[in-house]
Amino acid sequence: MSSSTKFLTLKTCDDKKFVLDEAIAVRSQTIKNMVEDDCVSNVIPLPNVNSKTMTKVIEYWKKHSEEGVSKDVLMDFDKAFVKVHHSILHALILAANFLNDKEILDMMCQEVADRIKGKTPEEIRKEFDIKNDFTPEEEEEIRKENAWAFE
Amino acid sequence: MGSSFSVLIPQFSSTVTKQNHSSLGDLPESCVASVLVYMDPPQICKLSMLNRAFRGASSADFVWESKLPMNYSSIIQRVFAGRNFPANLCKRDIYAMLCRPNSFDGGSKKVWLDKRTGRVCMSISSSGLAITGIDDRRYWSRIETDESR
Repeated sequence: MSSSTKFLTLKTCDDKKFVLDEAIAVRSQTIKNMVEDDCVSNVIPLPNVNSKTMTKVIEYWKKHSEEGVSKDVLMDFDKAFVKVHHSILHALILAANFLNDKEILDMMCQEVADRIKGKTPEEIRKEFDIKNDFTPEEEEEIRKENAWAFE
Repeated sequence: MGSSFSVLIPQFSSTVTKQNHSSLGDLPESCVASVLVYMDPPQICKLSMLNRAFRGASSADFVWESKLPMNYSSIIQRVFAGRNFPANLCKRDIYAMLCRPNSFDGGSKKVWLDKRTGRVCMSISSSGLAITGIDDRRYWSRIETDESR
């Protein structure tokens, strides 16, 4: 098996290269499709992912591809994995979305949900630096649209 | 899902990586919807006030499909039988519609969804009940009270 191990080179948007076992890299559906469609030359460019984020993704992929790793160990790993700053969390969601890795995407989205649960829109705007891009008319429209939920 | 939206991402990410900082407000609608799946309906509605991406995501069908009870289409059939049920409603509007108490079986029963959990609630009037074994008026009679409808 090891003699037939194929390696892929991934290049992030900041021109860093990552050499990775193909069997691990195909956890990304996007990369898997490229491999299956035979459109992989030497280097796979990842124009939407930076090296810092990719390092995290590969760390996850490697851990979850380890042979004989127990469920408990993986659960602890995942718990620690999501404990990152907001900006990294959001970068990981964008990366997982681009790489089409549902496992990482779901886990990260769950973490974001946990962080904003129970907070008011104003609190979330302040904490996560989100701009209110609605006109007053639109705000009124949304309020009407959702009135049923708060009656 | 990912592939169909990936065309939207370059513009987001290029700005993101330059600043090396990405915010919740920069997430594309499809990702925001994946976050909203983990919220309860009143919260989803509240979060639609945040920005355009959240508003768009808050009406995504796959978000509300996860909130509707499994048997929602049979509830619709039962409750809106014979009446015109608008065919082009999105899943969120169906959810909102089912959260209102809707009468059926000649007004003897009402059904609605608990807004937060999406669980089916029912209220049945005494005239909508049958007494097993002795559903025979010789053995009992209905006594109206002031509260009877």
